[in-house]
Amino acid sequence: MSSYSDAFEQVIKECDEHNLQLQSLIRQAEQNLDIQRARNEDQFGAVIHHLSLIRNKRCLMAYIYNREAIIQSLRWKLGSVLPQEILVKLHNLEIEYFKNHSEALESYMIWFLQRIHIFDVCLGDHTVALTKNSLHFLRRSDAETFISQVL
Amino acid sequence: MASGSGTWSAEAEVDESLLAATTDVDLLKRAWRNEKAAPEILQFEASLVLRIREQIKLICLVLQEETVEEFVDNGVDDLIVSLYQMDLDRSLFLLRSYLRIRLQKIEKYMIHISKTDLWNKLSEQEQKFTKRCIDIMEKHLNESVLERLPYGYQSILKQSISSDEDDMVPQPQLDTFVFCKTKDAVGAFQLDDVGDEIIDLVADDLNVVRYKSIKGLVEAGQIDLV
Repeated sequence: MSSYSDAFEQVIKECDEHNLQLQSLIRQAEQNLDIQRARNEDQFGAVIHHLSLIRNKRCLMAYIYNREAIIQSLRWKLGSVLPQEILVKLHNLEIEYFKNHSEALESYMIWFLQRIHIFDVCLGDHTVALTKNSLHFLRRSDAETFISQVL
Repeated sequence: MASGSGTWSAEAEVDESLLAATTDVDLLKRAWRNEKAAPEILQFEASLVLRIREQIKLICLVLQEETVEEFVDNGVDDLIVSLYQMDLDRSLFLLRSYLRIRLQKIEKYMIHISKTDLWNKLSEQEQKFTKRCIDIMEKHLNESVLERLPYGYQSILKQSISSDEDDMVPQPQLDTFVFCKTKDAVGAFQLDDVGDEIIDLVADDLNVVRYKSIKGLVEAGQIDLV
């Protein structure tokens, strides 16, 4: 999957068209110095195109931004490896975003873990007593899984 | 905990620090509750977090010793060990949750935080994380949308270059209602700049107000959020 939905692409194209209209109207408004009415029409037209453009921009940005927020919450809920059924729904750029964001979180967590490095050793023997939280405290040989469990 | 033998001396030290830790855990609990209820990020409690971390390390050390030595009376020792474990549990949960809530607030409002005085409320590590997140987010938004838009509309902060200010930055809603409890009596307090609503804030009073009105009091520590 290398592109977002068709609707997304259409909106981008619409923005380009708005912009073309906008630019030509601005040029026309600058040239039409004689008739007051004509100039106003061009200006109004330009304003409408401009407002449509920024509305489209807001919609596109909101779409991508909200997807980003969902991807962030996936990292908290599912850890650093995403299941296949979710991966197919993501754009390549989003998969990259997930990876980068995940790495940023992990470098924060690693710093935190280093400050209580004894933690790993001392809890290894007490998994039985901590049945309630054993999911969090189970000792793992794989450092990465352990780190992603901590926070 | 009554103790007579020499092997318990280390524990006596830990006992004292555990008693002090009660106050610290209470402080952490309070900071955690405030952070959970507040719509915006609050001041990072650096020294408190440091102390809690040291106490966690200390308890871990004690637990290590406990499991290595041989004990006469197994019943009592299991109880002591489980008490230490519970304390460890509690501190770790609070600390983790506190840091996690803050990280999630940062994820949500990273650009706003980086552009206002909220930046100074972050720890150094959080600031590094925020900068990194902003870079990642900007890269993603640029590649997905902004670079494909016409010139003049490619800013991540402004809708277009004709905007007067940064009108595309999401901000936390400071108008949300929060439950709050007054710690010390504040007396008559004006809720809003507009209108004459004055309420009397007495100690241990439970109120529901907009966060914006009591923001200053929360920061000063006179009101706790619930």
